[in-house]
Amino acid sequence: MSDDLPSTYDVIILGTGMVESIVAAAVARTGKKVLHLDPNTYYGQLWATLSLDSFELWAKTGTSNTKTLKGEDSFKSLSDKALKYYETQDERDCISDLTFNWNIVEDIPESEEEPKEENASGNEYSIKKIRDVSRKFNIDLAPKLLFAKGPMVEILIKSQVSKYVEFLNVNNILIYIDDAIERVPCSKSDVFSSKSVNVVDKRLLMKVLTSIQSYTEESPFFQEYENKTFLDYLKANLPEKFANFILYSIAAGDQNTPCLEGVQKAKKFLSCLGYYGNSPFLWPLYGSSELLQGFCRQCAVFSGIYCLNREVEAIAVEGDKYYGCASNGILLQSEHLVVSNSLLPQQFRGTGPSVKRAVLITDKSIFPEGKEGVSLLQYPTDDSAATILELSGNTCSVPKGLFIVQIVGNCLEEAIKNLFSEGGDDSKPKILYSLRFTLHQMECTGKLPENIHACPGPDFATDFDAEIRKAEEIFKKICPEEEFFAPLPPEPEPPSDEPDSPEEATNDA
Amino acid sequence: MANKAGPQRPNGTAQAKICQFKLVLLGESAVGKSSLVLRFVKGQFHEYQESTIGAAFLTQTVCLDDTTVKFEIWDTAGQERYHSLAPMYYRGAQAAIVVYDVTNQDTFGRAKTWVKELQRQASPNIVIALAGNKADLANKRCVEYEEAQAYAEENGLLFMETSAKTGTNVNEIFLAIAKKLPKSETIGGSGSGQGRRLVESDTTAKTSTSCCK
Repeated sequence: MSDDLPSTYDVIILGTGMVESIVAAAVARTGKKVLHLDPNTYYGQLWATLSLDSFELWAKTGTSNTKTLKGEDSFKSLSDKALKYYETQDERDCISDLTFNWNIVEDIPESEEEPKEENASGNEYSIKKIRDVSRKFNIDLAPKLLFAKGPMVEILIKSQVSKYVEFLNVNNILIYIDDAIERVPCSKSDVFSSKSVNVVDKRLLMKVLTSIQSYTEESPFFQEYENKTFLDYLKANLPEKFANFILYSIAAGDQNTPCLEGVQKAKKFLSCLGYYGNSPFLWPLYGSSELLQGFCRQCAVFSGIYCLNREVEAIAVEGDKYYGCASNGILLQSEHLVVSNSLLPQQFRGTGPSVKRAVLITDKSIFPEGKEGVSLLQYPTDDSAATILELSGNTCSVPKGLFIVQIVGNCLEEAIKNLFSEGGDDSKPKILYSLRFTLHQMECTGKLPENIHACPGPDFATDFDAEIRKAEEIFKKICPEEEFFAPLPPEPEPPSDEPDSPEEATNDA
Repeated sequence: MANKAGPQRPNGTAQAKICQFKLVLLGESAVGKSSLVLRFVKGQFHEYQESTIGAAFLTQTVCLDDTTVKFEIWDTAGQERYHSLAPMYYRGAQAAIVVYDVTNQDTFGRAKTWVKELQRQASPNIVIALAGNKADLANKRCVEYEEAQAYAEENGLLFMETSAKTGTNVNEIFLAIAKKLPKSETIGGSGSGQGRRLVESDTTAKTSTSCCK
């Protein structure tokens, strides 16, 4: 590869995860010169969205950390300065206990009967047939949803990165309760029109939803529950089934969620209804990594330089300040370094909490009576809960007729056992392919030079709120004087037939 | 600003038909991708064009007989330089212009690679045009017209030699693409992948007809 990267920048960003990419766009917009690198050939690291081929390759290379440390001396020749070099590590350390398998035949011999349609019945799938449409898969390593009125949506609109991405509503909000999947009535109108809720319960549910929606710091209503759990409050006011609906699906909580936290989370959910249809969540077409690619594109539009498949072997520090990055035999220099936690040198990296994840390809929806699209199912158990996201063909993440199921939570085996079949039971979706792994969060443990800014990898939350907060925090350290995604001066409109008058009130057809 | 999405209105059957298409530009750095867009959209040319246009994408409309074709034109923003073009760039693109520089044989070779890349990454129905740019520098020509034309014919591409500097064939190549694009399909929005775009402080659900496959 030709080594023509310029050698000095304001900010070098190492890793194309979500937080790094948001920071990249934010700082590039202020006019800073950005270099954005990633050791992989694709965007997103552990946030990536991959075609089936790439996903299988990712699984195969699995947990093998291929990184060999070179020793500090090998970098000494890069500069005359007295620099200390810290070698970066491999993001693969975030993955453990990875297993995968296909649950269908390798190939079906060509028979006399030509298969007519792609989405024939499940039994006819073969590995070959599915691999042939590998590109129709966009499989997320870390799928997350957007709250319709959450900070990610706000930043996407403010930055205009929203122009690059299209969304679908999450149109089935479901819960597994009493051995069955049920639709959760989310809004008051859902409750009102629900046929499965009797009149008395409707009234109780309405009352609770109204109290939650009107909650403020001063609300006297919840004060007696200050030291109790949200479940205590719900059970005191609702039959158990509906208490569970609100606790698990609307507040995304568990038995231990404190009352006020539960109320706030439920209120947030409810306040996001109605902006984009009757669902509080949005899902990006083609997968979560479209968002980070959008931020990266914006960084590029503001002259950021992009170079994938490019490793930084070591981070150079001069005294107590970061100095530059050793990469491919040259030293790239910058004022600031933004780096993924997963790549941090061992002196600074520690292992944080972990969670189990599974990705399935199935032949049927978990909730066939629901609308086609995106379904979110909460699966509570006695001591924890699993969150299940199912994507159908119209999400552009999977070929028509097949489904991608993403499961997060330490009780996922129980959920898989009860919801899916490995064959034989036609009433449940059949697992054609499955992958399981444990995802560890890396944390920054040592004291980094103050001009190095570490970014967390995917956490276990359903939304992007924490990522936006972190990106803003880093942005403020790099650009203390600037507003986070300050609006741009308006682009001059291309010539158009209609004048762009603010009072275009005459087009009600 | 409330009605900027006017031309996308889904039920505008009474109006002249308006179709919107995403068009992407590909080609090596410095072959004149951005210049072609600037010439087409704004009628401008800058001898020392900065390597990117500081906008998400530009739009321009072309009028055919009974249809207005609105192009949403995406530039690589320089991400092609180190082979780091994001897959989102190709998503839903219905047309592409692959640009090379007639005075530089290498860029023609690379253009062929970009065509292959499109065939691999983009929608199978994408309309591809090949543009031999900088045709005003005929005395420095390295790529023969016939050679490029033969290649384009073999691969079912539209082909023109263009000059962003003089404007030669710039409108023409966009017009040729507009003619070749399937107009009926986009309006009804066939197939998968109908999403919605986010809209600012909009309290009612709005359905976008932007369509991608």
